[in-house]
Amino acid sequence: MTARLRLPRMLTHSVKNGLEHEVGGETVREVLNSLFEREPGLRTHLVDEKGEIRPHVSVFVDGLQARLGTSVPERADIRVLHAVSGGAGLNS
Amino acid sequence: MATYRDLVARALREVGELTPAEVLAQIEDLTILDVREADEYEQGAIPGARLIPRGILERDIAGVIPDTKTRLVLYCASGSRSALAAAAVRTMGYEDATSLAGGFERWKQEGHAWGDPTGLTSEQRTRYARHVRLPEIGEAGQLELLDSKAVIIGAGGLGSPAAMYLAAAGVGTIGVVDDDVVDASNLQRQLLHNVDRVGMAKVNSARETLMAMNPDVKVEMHGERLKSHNAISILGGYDVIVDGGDNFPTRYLVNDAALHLRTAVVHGSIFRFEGQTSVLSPYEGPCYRCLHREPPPPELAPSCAEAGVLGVLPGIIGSIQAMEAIKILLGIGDTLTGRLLIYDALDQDFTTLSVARDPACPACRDPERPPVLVDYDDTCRPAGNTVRTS
Repeated sequence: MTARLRLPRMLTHSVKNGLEHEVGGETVREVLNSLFEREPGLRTHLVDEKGEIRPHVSVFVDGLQARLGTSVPERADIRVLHAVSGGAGLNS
Repeated sequence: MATYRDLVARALREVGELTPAEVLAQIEDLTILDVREADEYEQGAIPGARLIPRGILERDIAGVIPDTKTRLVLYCASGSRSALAAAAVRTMGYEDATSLAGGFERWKQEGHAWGDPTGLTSEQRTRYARHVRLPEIGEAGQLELLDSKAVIIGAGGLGSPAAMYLAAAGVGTIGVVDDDVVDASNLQRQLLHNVDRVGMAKVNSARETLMAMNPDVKVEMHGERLKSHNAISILGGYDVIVDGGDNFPTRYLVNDAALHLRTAVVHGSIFRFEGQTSVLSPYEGPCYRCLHREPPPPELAPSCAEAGVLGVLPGIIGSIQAMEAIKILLGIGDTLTGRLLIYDALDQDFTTLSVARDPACPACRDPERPPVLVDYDDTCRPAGNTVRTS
Protein backbone atom coordinates (compact mmCIF):
# COMPACT_ATOMS: atom_id res chain seq x y z
CA MET A 1 0.00 0.00 0.00
CA THR A 2 1.18 3.51 -0.67
CA ALA A 3 0.04 6.32 1.58
CA ARG A 4 0.64 10.03 1.74
CA LEU A 5 2.20 11.04 5.04
CA ARG A 6 2.38 14.57 6.39
CA LEU A 7 4.70 15.60 9.24
CA PRO A 8 4.24 18.58 11.57
CA ARG A 9 6.25 21.71 10.84
CA MET A 10 7.94 21.28 14.20
CA LEU A 11 10.05 18.57 12.54
CA THR A 12 11.16 20.75 9.60
CA HIS A 13 14.75 20.71 10.79
CA SER A 14 14.84 16.96 11.36
CA VAL A 15 14.05 15.96 7.76
CA LYS A 16 16.10 16.02 4.59
CA ASN A 17 13.31 15.52 2.07
CA GLY A 18 10.51 17.75 3.29
CA LEU A 19 7.40 17.23 5.38
CA GLU A 20 5.31 15.26 2.86
CA HIS A 21 6.19 11.73 1.83
CA GLU A 22 4.74 8.92 -0.26
CA VAL A 23 5.39 5.83 1.85
CA GLY A 24 4.57 2.15 1.57
CA GLY A 25 3.34 -0.22 4.26
CA GLU A 26 0.38 -2.33 5.35
CA THR A 27 0.31 -0.92 8.87
CA VAL A 28 1.31 2.28 10.64
CA ARG A 29 4.37 0.44 11.98
CA GLU A 30 5.50 -0.49 8.44
CA VAL A 31 4.81 2.99 7.14
CA LEU A 32 6.89 4.56 9.89
CA ASN A 33 9.73 2.11 9.25
CA SER A 34 9.68 3.03 5.55
CA LEU A 35 9.76 6.67 6.58
CA PHE A 36 12.74 6.14 8.90
CA GLU A 37 14.74 4.52 6.08
CA ARG A 38 14.32 7.74 4.14
CA GLU A 39 14.48 10.10 7.13
CA PRO A 40 16.60 8.48 9.82
CA GLY A 41 16.60 11.69 11.89
CA LEU A 42 12.89 11.25 12.61
CA ARG A 43 13.14 7.97 14.50
CA THR A 44 14.11 9.51 17.84
CA HIS A 45 11.33 12.11 17.53
CA LEU A 46 8.51 9.70 16.78
CA VAL A 47 9.26 6.40 18.53
CA ASP A 48 11.06 5.36 21.70
CA GLU A 49 13.83 2.79 22.14
CA LYS A 50 11.30 -0.05 21.99
CA GLY A 51 9.82 1.23 18.78
CA GLU A 52 6.59 2.42 20.43
CA ILE A 53 5.04 5.72 19.35
CA ARG A 54 6.18 8.37 21.83
CA PRO A 55 3.45 9.57 24.22
CA HIS A 56 3.54 13.14 22.87
CA VAL A 57 3.11 11.97 19.27
CA SER A 58 -0.14 10.92 17.63
CA VAL A 59 -0.66 9.32 14.24
CA PHE A 60 -3.91 9.68 12.30
CA VAL A 61 -4.94 7.53 9.34
CA ASP A 62 -7.60 9.19 7.19
CA GLY A 63 -8.42 11.55 10.05
CA LEU A 64 -8.79 8.85 12.73
CA GLN A 65 -6.37 8.32 15.61
CA ALA A 66 -4.29 5.21 14.91
CA ARG A 67 -1.89 2.85 16.64
CA LEU A 68 1.15 0.98 15.32
CA GLY A 69 -1.01 -1.99 14.29
CA THR A 70 -3.64 0.05 12.47
CA SER A 71 -4.04 -0.98 8.82
CA VAL A 72 -3.23 1.57 6.17
CA PRO A 73 -5.57 1.52 3.17
CA GLU A 74 -4.29 2.30 -0.32
CA ARG A 75 -3.91 6.08 -0.86
CA ALA A 76 -4.53 6.77 2.82
CA ASP A 77 -3.74 10.18 4.27
CA ILE A 78 -1.51 9.81 7.29
CA ARG A 79 -0.95 12.73 9.60
CA VAL A 80 1.64 12.82 12.35
CA LEU A 81 0.96 15.19 15.22
CA HIS A 82 3.25 16.51 17.92
CA ALA A 83 2.12 18.04 21.26
CA VAL A 84 2.69 21.78 21.25
CA SER A 85 2.81 23.87 24.40
CA GLY A 86 3.00 27.34 22.96
CA GLY A 87 0.53 30.12 23.58
CA ALA A 88 3.04 32.79 22.58
CA GLY A 89 3.26 34.08 26.12
CA LEU A 90 6.41 35.64 27.50
CA ASN A 91 7.95 32.34 28.44
CA SER A 92 6.88 30.27 25.49
CA MET B 1 -59.71 59.16 2.33
CA ALA B 2 -59.16 56.44 4.93
CA THR B 3 -58.37 57.63 8.44
CA TYR B 4 -56.08 55.96 10.95
CA ARG B 5 -59.18 54.53 12.64
CA ASP B 6 -60.35 53.10 9.34
CA LEU B 7 -56.97 51.45 8.78
CA VAL B 8 -56.93 49.97 12.28
CA ALA B 9 -60.51 48.70 11.90
CA ARG B 10 -59.69 47.11 8.55
CA ALA B 11 -56.56 45.50 10.00
CA LEU B 12 -58.49 44.16 12.98
CA ARG B 13 -61.06 42.57 10.69
CA GLU B 14 -58.24 40.78 8.95
CA VAL B 15 -56.04 39.68 11.87
CA GLY B 16 -58.57 39.37 14.69
CA GLU B 17 -57.73 39.72 18.34
CA LEU B 18 -57.05 37.58 21.37
CA THR B 19 -58.04 38.80 24.81
CA PRO B 20 -55.44 38.65 27.60
CA ALA B 21 -57.23 35.63 29.06
CA GLU B 22 -57.17 33.84 25.68
CA VAL B 23 -53.47 34.56 25.33
CA LEU B 24 -52.76 33.15 28.79
CA ALA B 25 -54.81 30.03 28.02
CA GLN B 26 -52.71 29.33 24.90
CA ILE B 27 -49.41 30.83 26.04
CA GLU B 28 -47.43 27.62 25.44
CA ASP B 29 -48.30 27.75 21.75
CA LEU B 30 -47.84 31.47 21.22
CA THR B 31 -44.89 33.73 20.58
CA ILE B 32 -45.55 37.20 21.97
CA LEU B 33 -44.09 40.14 20.10
CA ASP B 34 -43.94 43.59 21.63
CA VAL B 35 -44.06 46.12 18.78
CA ARG B 36 -43.80 49.25 20.94
CA GLU B 37 -40.71 51.44 21.03
CA ALA B 38 -37.72 50.31 23.10
CA ASP B 39 -38.25 53.00 25.76
CA GLU B 40 -41.85 51.85 26.31
CA TYR B 41 -40.73 48.23 26.53
CA GLU B 42 -38.06 49.00 29.09
CA GLN B 43 -40.66 50.47 31.44
CA GLY B 44 -42.56 47.22 31.59
CA ALA B 45 -43.55 44.33 29.35
CA ILE B 46 -45.35 40.99 29.25
CA PRO B 47 -43.02 38.26 30.53
CA GLY B 48 -41.34 36.38 27.69
CA ALA B 49 -42.28 38.95 25.05
CA ARG B 50 -39.73 39.67 22.37
CA LEU B 51 -39.27 43.25 21.28
CA ILE B 52 -39.29 44.31 17.64
CA PRO B 53 -40.44 47.94 17.39
CA ARG B 54 -43.09 48.62 14.75
CA GLY B 55 -40.68 50.76 12.71
CA ILE B 56 -38.25 47.89 12.04
CA LEU B 57 -40.68 44.98 12.24
CA GLU B 58 -40.67 44.04 8.57
CA ARG B 59 -36.89 44.36 8.44
CA ASP B 60 -36.11 42.24 11.49
CA ILE B 61 -38.88 39.70 11.92
CA ALA B 62 -37.38 37.02 9.67
CA GLY B 63 -34.19 37.10 11.71
CA VAL B 64 -36.01 36.82 15.04
CA ILE B 65 -38.83 34.48 13.96
CA PRO B 66 -37.58 32.47 10.97
CA ASP B 67 -40.58 30.11 10.91
CA THR B 68 -43.55 31.83 9.28
CA LYS B 69 -45.88 29.15 10.71
CA THR B 70 -45.23 30.44 14.25
CA ARG B 71 -48.39 31.53 16.06
CA LEU B 72 -47.77 35.19 16.82
CA VAL B 73 -49.62 37.58 19.04
CA LEU B 74 -48.49 41.16 18.71
CA TYR B 75 -49.13 43.88 21.24
CA CYS B 76 -48.62 47.59 21.66
CA ALA B 77 -49.97 50.01 24.26
CA SER B 78 -53.64 49.90 23.26
CA GLY B 79 -54.03 47.39 20.43
CA SER B 80 -54.01 49.70 17.39
CA ARG B 81 -50.38 49.68 16.27
CA SER B 82 -50.23 45.93 16.89
CA ALA B 83 -53.25 45.35 14.62
CA LEU B 84 -51.52 47.22 11.81
CA ALA B 85 -48.28 45.40 12.56
CA ALA B 86 -50.00 41.99 12.51
CA ALA B 87 -51.57 42.82 9.14
CA ALA B 88 -48.14 43.80 7.81
CA VAL B 89 -46.45 40.58 8.86
CA ARG B 90 -49.36 38.56 7.48
CA THR B 91 -48.48 39.96 4.06
CA MET B 92 -44.98 38.59 4.64
CA GLY B 93 -46.34 35.08 5.20
CA TYR B 94 -46.96 35.02 8.97
CA GLU B 95 -50.54 33.91 8.48
CA ASP B 96 -51.12 33.16 12.15
CA ALA B 97 -50.33 36.67 13.39
CA THR B 98 -52.97 38.34 15.53
CA SER B 99 -53.25 41.24 17.95
CA LEU B 100 -53.72 41.51 21.71
CA ALA B 101 -57.08 43.16 22.44
CA GLY B 102 -56.61 46.37 24.42
CA GLY B 103 -52.84 46.03 24.31
CA PHE B 104 -50.53 46.28 27.29
CA GLU B 105 -52.84 48.74 29.11
CA ARG B 106 -55.70 46.24 29.25
CA TRP B 107 -53.26 43.47 30.20
CA LYS B 108 -52.16 45.49 33.23
CA GLN B 109 -55.70 46.61 34.11
CA GLU B 110 -56.82 42.98 34.28
CA GLY B 111 -54.04 42.31 36.76
CA HIS B 112 -51.96 39.92 34.66
CA ALA B 113 -48.26 39.52 35.33
CA TRP B 114 -45.88 42.06 33.85
CA GLY B 115 -42.60 43.52 34.91
CA ASP B 116 -39.36 45.13 34.03
CA PRO B 117 -38.20 43.17 31.05
CA THR B 118 -35.04 41.27 31.73
CA GLY B 119 -34.17 42.26 28.20
CA LEU B 120 -31.36 44.33 26.80
CA THR B 121 -31.12 48.06 27.40
CA SER B 122 -31.45 50.29 24.37
CA GLU B 123 -27.66 50.79 24.35
CA GLN B 124 -27.16 47.03 24.45
CA ARG B 125 -29.70 46.52 21.73
CA THR B 126 -27.63 48.80 19.52
CA ARG B 127 -24.29 47.32 20.55
CA TYR B 128 -25.35 43.71 20.01
CA ALA B 129 -27.73 44.34 17.08
CA ARG B 130 -25.81 41.99 14.76
CA HIS B 131 -25.99 39.19 17.33
CA VAL B 132 -29.66 39.75 18.10
CA ARG B 133 -30.52 39.44 14.42
CA LEU B 134 -29.05 35.93 14.30
CA PRO B 135 -31.87 33.45 15.03
CA GLU B 136 -29.35 31.20 16.82
CA ILE B 137 -28.59 33.98 19.31
CA GLY B 138 -31.40 36.55 19.45
CA GLU B 139 -32.07 38.66 22.50
CA ALA B 140 -32.31 35.60 24.75
CA GLY B 141 -28.90 34.35 23.62
CA GLN B 142 -27.34 37.75 24.10
CA LEU B 143 -28.74 37.88 27.63
CA GLU B 144 -27.26 34.43 28.21
CA LEU B 145 -23.85 35.67 27.07
CA LEU B 146 -24.13 38.68 29.39
CA ASP B 147 -24.86 36.27 32.21
CA SER B 148 -21.94 33.96 31.29
CA LYS B 149 -18.51 33.65 32.80
CA ALA B 150 -15.38 32.68 30.86
CA VAL B 151 -11.85 32.40 32.19
CA ILE B 152 -8.78 32.75 30.01
CA ILE B 153 -5.48 31.18 30.95
CA GLY B 154 -2.77 33.53 29.71
CA ALA B 155 -3.12 37.12 28.51
CA GLY B 156 -0.69 36.41 25.68
CA GLY B 157 -0.87 35.61 21.99
CA LEU B 158 -3.89 33.29 22.19
CA GLY B 159 -5.51 34.95 25.18
CA SER B 160 -5.50 38.39 23.53
CA PRO B 161 -7.88 37.73 20.63
CA ALA B 162 -9.90 35.26 22.70
CA ALA B 163 -10.45 37.79 25.50
CA MET B 164 -11.10 40.68 23.11
CA TYR B 165 -13.71 38.80 21.06
CA LEU B 166 -15.42 37.46 24.18
CA ALA B 167 -15.52 40.97 25.65
CA ALA B 168 -16.82 42.48 22.42
CA ALA B 169 -19.45 39.74 22.26
CA GLY B 170 -20.69 40.72 25.70
CA VAL B 171 -19.62 37.71 27.75
CA GLY B 172 -20.50 39.31 31.08
CA THR B 173 -17.63 38.11 33.24
CA ILE B 174 -14.15 37.41 31.92
CA GLY B 175 -11.45 36.09 34.21
CA VAL B 176 -7.83 36.54 33.14
CA VAL B 177 -5.10 34.41 34.70
CA ASP B 178 -1.52 35.60 34.16
CA ASP B 179 1.34 36.39 36.52
CA ASP B 180 3.52 38.11 33.93
CA VAL B 181 4.23 41.71 32.99
CA VAL B 182 4.06 43.17 29.49
CA ASP B 183 7.36 42.92 27.61
CA ALA B 184 8.25 44.77 24.42
CA SER B 185 8.74 41.42 22.65
CA ASN B 186 5.07 40.58 23.32
CA LEU B 187 3.70 43.40 21.19
CA GLN B 188 4.32 41.60 17.87
CA ARG B 189 1.26 39.41 18.61
CA GLN B 190 -0.38 40.17 21.98
CA LEU B 191 -3.01 42.69 20.98
CA LEU B 192 -4.30 43.28 24.51
CA HIS B 193 -1.18 45.29 25.32
CA ASN B 194 0.58 48.34 23.92
CA VAL B 195 3.81 50.31 24.11
CA ASP B 196 2.68 52.42 27.05
CA ARG B 197 2.05 49.33 29.14
CA VAL B 198 5.46 47.68 28.92
CA GLY B 199 6.29 46.68 32.50
CA MET B 200 2.64 46.68 33.60
CA ALA B 201 1.05 43.48 34.94
CA LYS B 202 -0.64 41.76 32.01
CA VAL B 203 -3.88 41.29 33.92
CA ASN B 204 -4.09 45.06 34.50
CA SER B 205 -3.30 45.80 30.88
CA ALA B 206 -5.91 43.24 29.77
CA ARG B 207 -8.52 44.77 32.05
CA GLU B 208 -7.91 48.28 30.68
CA THR B 209 -8.26 47.08 27.09
CA LEU B 210 -11.36 44.97 27.70
CA MET B 211 -13.16 47.59 29.79
CA ALA B 212 -12.49 50.21 27.10
CA MET B 213 -13.99 47.87 24.49
CA ASN B 214 -17.15 47.05 26.39
CA PRO B 215 -18.31 48.51 29.70
CA ASP B 216 -20.84 45.66 30.06
CA VAL B 217 -18.00 43.29 30.87
CA LYS B 218 -16.68 42.63 34.35
CA VAL B 219 -13.01 41.63 34.23
CA GLU B 220 -11.72 39.50 37.09
CA MET B 221 -7.95 39.65 37.39
CA HIS B 222 -6.02 36.65 38.66
CA GLY B 223 -2.43 37.89 38.68
CA GLU B 224 -0.93 34.63 39.81
CA ARG B 225 0.39 31.47 38.27
CA LEU B 226 -2.10 28.62 38.14
CA LYS B 227 -0.98 26.01 40.67
CA SER B 228 -2.47 22.92 42.24
CA HIS B 229 -3.46 24.84 45.40
CA ASN B 230 -5.34 27.62 43.57
CA ALA B 231 -6.59 25.93 40.39
CA ILE B 232 -10.03 25.00 41.73
CA SER B 233 -10.63 28.31 43.48
CA ILE B 234 -9.60 30.31 40.38
CA LEU B 235 -11.33 28.20 37.72
CA GLY B 236 -14.39 27.19 39.73
CA GLY B 237 -17.47 29.26 39.01
CA TYR B 238 -16.64 29.87 35.35
CA ASP B 239 -18.77 28.35 32.60
CA VAL B 240 -15.90 27.74 30.19
CA ILE B 241 -12.10 27.73 30.34
CA VAL B 242 -10.06 29.06 27.42
CA ASP B 243 -6.56 27.63 27.60
CA GLY B 244 -4.01 29.93 26.02
CA GLY B 245 -1.23 28.81 28.36
CA ASP B 246 2.39 28.66 27.35
CA ASN B 247 3.78 25.57 29.07
CA PHE B 248 2.93 21.90 29.46
CA PRO B 249 2.72 21.71 33.30
CA THR B 250 -0.04 24.37 33.27
CA ARG B 251 -1.89 22.69 30.40
CA TYR B 252 -2.00 19.33 32.21
CA LEU B 253 -3.05 21.06 35.45
CA VAL B 254 -5.85 22.94 33.63
CA ASN B 255 -6.99 19.62 32.17
CA ASP B 256 -7.05 17.93 35.59
CA ALA B 257 -8.84 20.83 37.31
CA ALA B 258 -11.42 20.94 34.50
CA LEU B 259 -12.14 17.23 35.10
CA HIS B 260 -12.79 18.02 38.78
CA LEU B 261 -15.03 20.95 37.86
CA ARG B 262 -16.60 19.25 34.80
CA THR B 263 -15.97 22.47 32.87
CA ALA B 264 -15.15 22.43 29.17
CA VAL B 265 -11.69 23.62 28.09
CA VAL B 266 -11.16 25.32 24.75
CA HIS B 267 -7.60 24.31 23.98
CA GLY B 268 -5.28 26.25 21.72
CA SER B 269 -1.57 25.90 21.06
CA ILE B 270 0.80 27.25 18.44
CA PHE B 271 4.28 26.76 17.12
CA ARG B 272 5.99 28.75 14.37
CA PHE B 273 3.39 28.55 11.56
CA GLU B 274 1.15 25.80 12.91
CA GLY B 275 -1.68 25.83 15.42
CA GLN B 276 -3.93 23.27 17.10
CA THR B 277 -7.29 23.82 18.73
CA SER B 278 -9.93 21.56 20.24
CA VAL B 279 -12.69 21.46 22.84
CA LEU B 280 -12.04 19.17 25.78
CA SER B 281 -15.45 18.37 27.26
CA PRO B 282 -14.98 16.38 30.48
CA TYR B 283 -16.19 12.80 30.19
CA GLU B 284 -18.02 13.53 26.91
CA GLY B 285 -14.99 13.74 24.65
CA PRO B 286 -11.28 13.16 25.03
CA CYS B 287 -9.29 15.13 27.59
CA TYR B 288 -5.85 16.60 26.95
CA ARG B 289 -4.19 13.46 28.29
CA CYS B 290 -6.23 11.27 25.90
CA LEU B 291 -4.72 13.32 23.11
CA HIS B 292 -1.17 13.65 24.43
CA ARG B 293 -0.44 11.11 27.15
CA GLU B 294 2.74 12.99 28.11
CA PRO B 295 4.54 16.09 26.88
CA PRO B 296 7.69 15.78 24.79
CA PRO B 297 10.94 15.73 26.72
CA PRO B 298 12.49 19.23 26.75
CA GLU B 299 15.18 18.30 24.20
CA LEU B 300 12.45 17.42 21.67
CA ALA B 301 10.26 20.45 22.36
CA PRO B 302 11.76 23.84 21.60
CA SER B 303 9.67 26.69 22.98
CA CYS B 304 8.18 29.51 20.91
CA ALA B 305 10.80 31.86 22.37
CA GLU B 306 13.49 29.65 20.85
CA ALA B 307 11.69 28.72 17.66
CA GLY B 308 9.66 31.85 16.92
CA VAL B 309 6.03 32.28 15.96
CA LEU B 310 4.37 34.34 13.26
CA GLY B 311 2.33 36.97 15.12
CA VAL B 312 -0.91 36.47 13.18
CA LEU B 313 -1.03 32.75 14.00
CA PRO B 314 -2.20 33.11 17.63
CA GLY B 315 -4.69 35.67 16.33
CA ILE B 316 -6.31 32.99 14.17
CA ILE B 317 -6.22 30.18 16.73
CA GLY B 318 -7.27 32.47 19.60
CA SER B 319 -10.19 33.73 17.53
CA ILE B 320 -11.33 30.16 16.88
CA GLN B 321 -11.09 29.56 20.62
CA ALA B 322 -13.37 32.56 21.23
CA MET B 323 -15.83 31.17 18.67
CA GLU B 324 -15.88 27.75 20.34
CA ALA B 325 -16.29 29.33 23.79
CA ILE B 326 -19.31 31.32 22.61
CA LYS B 327 -20.85 28.20 21.03
CA ILE B 328 -20.40 26.35 24.32
CA LEU B 329 -21.91 29.22 26.32
CA LEU B 330 -24.93 29.38 24.00
CA GLY B 331 -25.24 25.66 23.34
CA ILE B 332 -25.29 26.18 19.58
CA GLY B 333 -23.63 24.36 16.69
CA ASP B 334 -21.17 21.48 16.81
CA THR B 335 -18.12 22.25 18.90
CA LEU B 336 -14.68 20.76 18.39
CA THR B 337 -15.38 18.15 21.09
CA GLY B 338 -13.72 14.96 19.85
CA ARG B 339 -12.01 16.79 17.02
CA LEU B 340 -8.68 18.51 16.71
CA LEU B 341 -8.35 21.33 14.21
CA ILE B 342 -4.88 21.80 12.76
CA TYR B 343 -4.05 25.03 10.97
CA ASP B 344 -1.01 25.41 8.75
CA ALA B 345 -0.41 29.07 7.94
CA LEU B 346 2.17 28.53 5.21
CA ASP B 347 -0.02 26.10 3.28
CA GLN B 348 -3.16 28.01 4.35
CA ASP B 349 -4.69 24.67 5.22
CA PHE B 350 -7.17 23.55 7.89
CA THR B 351 -7.38 19.86 8.74
CA THR B 352 -9.80 18.28 11.21
CA LEU B 353 -8.77 15.06 12.92
CA SER B 354 -10.99 12.82 15.05
CA VAL B 355 -9.86 12.08 18.57
CA ALA B 356 -11.66 9.55 20.75
CA ARG B 357 -11.63 9.21 24.53
CA ASP B 358 -8.93 6.82 25.62
CA PRO B 359 -10.58 4.14 27.82
CA ALA B 360 -7.24 3.71 29.59
CA CYS B 361 -6.61 7.43 30.06
CA PRO B 362 -5.10 7.91 33.52
CA ALA B 363 -6.85 11.28 33.87
CA CYS B 364 -10.42 10.73 32.68
CA ARG B 365 -11.13 6.98 32.52
CA ASP B 366 -13.20 7.09 35.76
CA PRO B 367 -15.50 10.10 36.26
CA GLU B 368 -15.68 9.36 39.98
CA ARG B 369 -11.89 9.38 40.37
CA PRO B 370 -10.47 12.56 38.82
CA PRO B 371 -6.71 13.12 38.88
CA VAL B 372 -4.93 14.28 42.02
CA LEU B 373 -4.02 17.94 41.49
CA VAL B 374 -0.26 18.40 41.64
CA ASP B 375 2.29 20.93 40.45
CA TYR B 376 3.75 18.99 37.56
CA ASP B 377 7.41 19.08 36.63
CA ASP B 378 8.43 19.00 32.96
CA THR B 379 7.51 15.32 32.63
CA CYS B 380 3.85 15.93 33.68
CA ARG B 381 3.59 12.29 34.74
CA PRO B 382 0.18 11.33 36.15
CA ALA B 383 0.18 11.47 39.94
CA GLY B 384 -2.77 9.17 40.58
CA ASN B 385 -6.45 9.73 41.19
CA THR B 386 -8.63 10.83 44.03
CA VAL B 387 -12.24 10.37 45.08
CA ARG B 388 -14.52 12.99 43.61
CA THR B 389 -15.73 15.39 46.25
CA SER B 390 -17.98 17.59 44.16
